[in-house]
Amino acid sequence: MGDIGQEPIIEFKNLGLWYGQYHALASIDERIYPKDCVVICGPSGSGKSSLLRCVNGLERIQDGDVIVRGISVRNCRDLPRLRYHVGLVFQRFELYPHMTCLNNVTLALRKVLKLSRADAERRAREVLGRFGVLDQADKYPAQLSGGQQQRVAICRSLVLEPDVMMFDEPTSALDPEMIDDVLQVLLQLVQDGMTMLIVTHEMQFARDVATRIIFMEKGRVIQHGSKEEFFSSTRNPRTQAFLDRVFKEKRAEEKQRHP
Amino acid sequence: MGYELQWSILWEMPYREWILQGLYLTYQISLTSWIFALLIGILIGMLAECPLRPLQYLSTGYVELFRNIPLLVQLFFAYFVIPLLLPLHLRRQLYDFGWEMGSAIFTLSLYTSAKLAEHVRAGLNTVGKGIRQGALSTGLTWWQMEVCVVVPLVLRIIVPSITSEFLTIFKSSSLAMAVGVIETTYVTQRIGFNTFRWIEANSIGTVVYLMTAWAVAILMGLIERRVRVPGLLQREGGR
Amino acid sequence: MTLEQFFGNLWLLALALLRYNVTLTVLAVLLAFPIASLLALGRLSPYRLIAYPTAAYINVLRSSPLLMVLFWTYYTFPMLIGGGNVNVFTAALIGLTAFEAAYFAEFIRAGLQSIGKDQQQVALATGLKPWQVSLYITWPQAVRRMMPSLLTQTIIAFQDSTLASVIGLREVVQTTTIVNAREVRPIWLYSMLAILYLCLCFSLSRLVRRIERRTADRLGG
Repeated sequence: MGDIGQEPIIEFKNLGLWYGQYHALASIDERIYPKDCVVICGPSGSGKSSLLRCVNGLERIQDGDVIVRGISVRNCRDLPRLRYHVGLVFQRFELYPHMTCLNNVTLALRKVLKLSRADAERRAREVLGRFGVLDQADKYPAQLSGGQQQRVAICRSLVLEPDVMMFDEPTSALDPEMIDDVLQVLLQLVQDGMTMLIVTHEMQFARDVATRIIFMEKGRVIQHGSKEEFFSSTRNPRTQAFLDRVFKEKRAEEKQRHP
Repeated sequence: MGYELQWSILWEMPYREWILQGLYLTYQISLTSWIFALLIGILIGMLAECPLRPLQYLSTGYVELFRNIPLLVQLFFAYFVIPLLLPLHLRRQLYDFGWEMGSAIFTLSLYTSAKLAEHVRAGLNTVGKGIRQGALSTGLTWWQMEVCVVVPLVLRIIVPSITSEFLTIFKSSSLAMAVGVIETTYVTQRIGFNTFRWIEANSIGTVVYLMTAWAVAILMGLIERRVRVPGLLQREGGR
Repeated sequence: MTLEQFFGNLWLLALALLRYNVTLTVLAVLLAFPIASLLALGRLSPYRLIAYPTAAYINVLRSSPLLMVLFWTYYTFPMLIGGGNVNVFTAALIGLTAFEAAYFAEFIRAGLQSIGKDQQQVALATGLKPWQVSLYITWPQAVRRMMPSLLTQTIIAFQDSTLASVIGLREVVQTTTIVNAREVRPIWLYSMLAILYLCLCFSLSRLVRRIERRTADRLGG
């Protein structure tokens, strides 16, 4: 359970975001505490990815604000400094294709934290080793499987020792066999005490690992609360509809794989 | 017809000397312009993707300017007009320096840089938002992202497309003869006028350009193979 | 420069442009297209006796500067064929046509090859003869696809036509030089020349882009 006693690491204050005429996010009011593992779920287009991108300033906030470690993102003058304290892992990994995995991980260490190449490589190898991709260090991303690439991507953010790690549908672009690998990594991070914000469709994973769940639809938060509340029998009808659909899809998928 | 080919005349002095000098000047113009064009072109190309609107317009304007005016017109403009726009002492320096060559290199550099800028812009587009956001998320500044991640990637991507520009620059160098530079094309015509051996003279010129084109293609092919990014473009995630 | 002189010179330039550059370009392109089509087909031919020479022609012409080609047609070939004087315009036209045909040939080849074999096989399966497949299925689609490249190359040819000034044709660049020799106003005159071409080519390329977008919409992108 998240440390509610402490100051929240991320605070969404009446956050609003537009893409032109399209209202992507509206009136988001949430708090993420240290050691929280918050899963954000909801149908496509509900604004989940946009929400994550507001936290590290990749999207320009129009309404309200996001406060990260006490700093207002909307008024932040030094976004790069803010960003390495907040790790973001993308659905499509977004590794630099022209650099080895090792260089992918060390680039920020060298350029942002100004570590020497030797120090950077040492730290990088340590993190890569922790997640089982050390022997891929000198290969190029295209030579790795999707699961391995995503693990390298996680290392790339993790090696900067952020206060919170955000994941934007980390397993959606992976083959089913590799999804578990990556979920294992997420589990390990939670057990190590990392504050996590995960956008995902993997409701089984949410059930196992999350402390809190936020359900979004059409840019608004429909339901939020502890895991137990979320999966209990009394809930918002829209949430119910979503869960039904997700579990039905999952059952169909399972049937396909194990007939 | 009564025309006997006499190839040996090309080997005689002074024609042999002329051909080599012409070759030297052709290469000097082409390679110098190419280097300038690369540096300027990459810069202008990057401006096109810059978040600042006025710089984007500058980039587009630059490219359109040099694309739509014929190279010969640009060359004459540079040769005749630019010295007149300078104060007298600079003008004299320019002519002393040899503004024939100077204007040729100047024009060819700017013209080619505009073409290269277009290729760079297309390359930047290919790189797309995803990798940029990935880089920014690790705390890199915009400048660090561009220099350490995007530009190396773009340069590798555009090697095939700038090969044709490299080829073209050698051909375009022939225009320098219009302002008096004694490069390969001019030399072949001088030899022709002097000896009336037009076929041999023109042939050696054509051979020079052909060999150059061949060499450039091989060179760029080697470079492309060396810097190729494994698995770039249309890669499905997770496969 | 007085207003009268300005318009007088502009008129001279425009006249030269239309009379020589435009005519040269239009004729060259119209002649080059059928020649290039034959070259493209030759290049794609399975008979080595046809494919190799056409490929050689295309490669040589594409590796050579246009200026050299013009010198071949103006000075060299006439020497061989009787040694008489050739009309400058004719020489320029032949040179430009031969040159552009090589470039067109590559675009046409790319266009033809972009029509998948499947299309052609389906057509054959419905009983059409090979020449009918070519005429009704392959070529119409190929032409629509190669149109933007061909049009862009035409604009380039329009710019290249200025090289005819080097062999003495009284086209727009040569006219500018002649007027300059008389009036000595290089800044005005060469700027007028540059701006003239800038406006024309810019508008033409915008037009081509609009045509490109319209055909892309109809073909489905």
